[in-house]
Amino acid sequence: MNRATLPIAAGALGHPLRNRGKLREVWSRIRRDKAAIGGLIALVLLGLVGIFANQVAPYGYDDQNIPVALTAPGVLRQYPLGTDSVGRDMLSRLIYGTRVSLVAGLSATAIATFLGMLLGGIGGFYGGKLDNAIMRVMDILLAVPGILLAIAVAATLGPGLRNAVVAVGIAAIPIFARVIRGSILSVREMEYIEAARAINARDLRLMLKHVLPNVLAPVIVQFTLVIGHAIMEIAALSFLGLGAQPPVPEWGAMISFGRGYLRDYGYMMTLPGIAIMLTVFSINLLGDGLRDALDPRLKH
Amino acid sequence: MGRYVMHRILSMIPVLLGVTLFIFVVLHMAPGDPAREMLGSMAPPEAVEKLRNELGLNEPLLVQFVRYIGHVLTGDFGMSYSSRAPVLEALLSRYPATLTLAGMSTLIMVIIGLPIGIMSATRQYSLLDRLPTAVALMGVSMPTFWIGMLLVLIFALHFRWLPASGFSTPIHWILPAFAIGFNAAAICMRMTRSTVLEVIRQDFIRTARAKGQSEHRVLAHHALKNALIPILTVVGIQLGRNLGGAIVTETVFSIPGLGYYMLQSILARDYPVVQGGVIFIAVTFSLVNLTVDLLYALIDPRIRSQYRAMSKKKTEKGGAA
Repeated sequence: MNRATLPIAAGALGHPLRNRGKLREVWSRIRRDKAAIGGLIALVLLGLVGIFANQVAPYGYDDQNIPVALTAPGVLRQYPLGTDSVGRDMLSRLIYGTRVSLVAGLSATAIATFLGMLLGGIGGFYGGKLDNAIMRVMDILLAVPGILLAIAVAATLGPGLRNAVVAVGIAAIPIFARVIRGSILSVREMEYIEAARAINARDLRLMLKHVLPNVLAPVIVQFTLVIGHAIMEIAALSFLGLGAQPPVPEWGAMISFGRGYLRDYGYMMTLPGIAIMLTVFSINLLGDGLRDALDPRLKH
Repeated sequence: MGRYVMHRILSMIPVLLGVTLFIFVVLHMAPGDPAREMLGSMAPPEAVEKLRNELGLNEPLLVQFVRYIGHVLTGDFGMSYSSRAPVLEALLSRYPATLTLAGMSTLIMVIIGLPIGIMSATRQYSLLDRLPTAVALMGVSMPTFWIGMLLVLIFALHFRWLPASGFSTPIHWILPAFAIGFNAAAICMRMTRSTVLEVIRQDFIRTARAKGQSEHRVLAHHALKNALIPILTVVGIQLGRNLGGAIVTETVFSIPGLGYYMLQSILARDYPVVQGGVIFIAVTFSLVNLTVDLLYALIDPRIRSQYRAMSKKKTEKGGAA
């Protein structure tokens, strides 16, 4: 996982984010970015495929047709992407896998974002000893590679997709905690915060109405980019046997299953990998575009 | 400077203690009993209980932790539950493979990522920029373990040029190092490109050009020197990440390294090995970060003077107190 944080200035959107003019400006910038739009369209399509997997997939992800097992892609018209070693349709499994992998990646990122924003937000807003304590814990989490942390947590929680999601989510908390803390520190001293304080706004109101909208830009960008990493890390955990268990058609688990047939039936391993690559590629295209649109100073 | 290094090394201690405590607690929260695992499911409960007592597993967690730290400080990382051999020796024998893998992949990353990143930035929006940028974005979108398996499929199984597993000779290093290095090179290229682009828009570059310096000199003497710090940061972060990447890649290539060993130990609930391994990796990680910070001072005189000022201030403070 990319544990480096993006150096996006807080409040890059000006105050406040909910200002329609600004939103429109950001959208118009994204619209001109062909790559980002391409990524967005691909993601929407993938999302639709995931949502309507039951309708789109020709077979169930666990339907077996043993007589046609290990049919290569393009040989049988009924199985355009071939079948695996137990006669399951590769295409259907990839389609259901879209749902599994996207939901897993989104959930892990959501966990990381929520907890990271909570911890980084409290630290940045209140400062002092609490901030120090929180950031030292984050330092500890950052002192080992994210994947190792995720492996340890996943092993503790036990194998399974849900636990892998939690493990990857926990490992990604420091990324968000740091981003949000850094942004809050620079926004905290702004005059409009002082003004709100002067009219006796309570902390919660101050945080939600005045601070949060101004630090959201870097979080949105980071959120997008981390989803891609989360999908890949969850796939890695499944590959190691700590994530999704058979017959769940998670892409990493499919690669792991295909590994045993690498020599003669390479497509069982390559196809799910291509699915991961295309999905993460689309997410990254959109993420890069969002970063450029939300903070044009960084645009290259 | 010496004072700064000392300060940094000392500040590693609480972080390493924290990491050890974290992993200690996480592992002990895990379901399953190492004593039961060692003796097998058929063993009588009394024997399991006896072994738990011997291993100290019945004592409060904090007591176990403090005792463990005490032992680690004297170089005793305990015995592996499964092999009954000293953990330190087992880790030390596997550490070189992991370090070699991380080092080689970082080398590949720098050799590929850096020049392409610079080329891309200096020819922005040309084909020489767009093509590598697209390939790099593709590269960061591929899981390393999958790249590893693709490389095996192509170069080991199809062409039979390179071995598919093992790590005994430099020939064996090539595929795993490229598996990690490709992804890392993509990250490095993207970062180098954006850093160089940022620098070449600065005023001092315009000044250098206005003075009539050759484009090569502007790039080598002005732009790259200033882009080096952020690039170095990325290289440092990546070296650490490559260490993490090694864990999964070692499994793909059955490399007898630290990562593969730790993964097996995590699955077998061999706590002492996992704890020792995490300490090894965390120390390496921290030392890499420290080295990067010290290299900053070597490259950038401004940072060097900051370090000096910091040491000076501390001396004055110390004197006043």
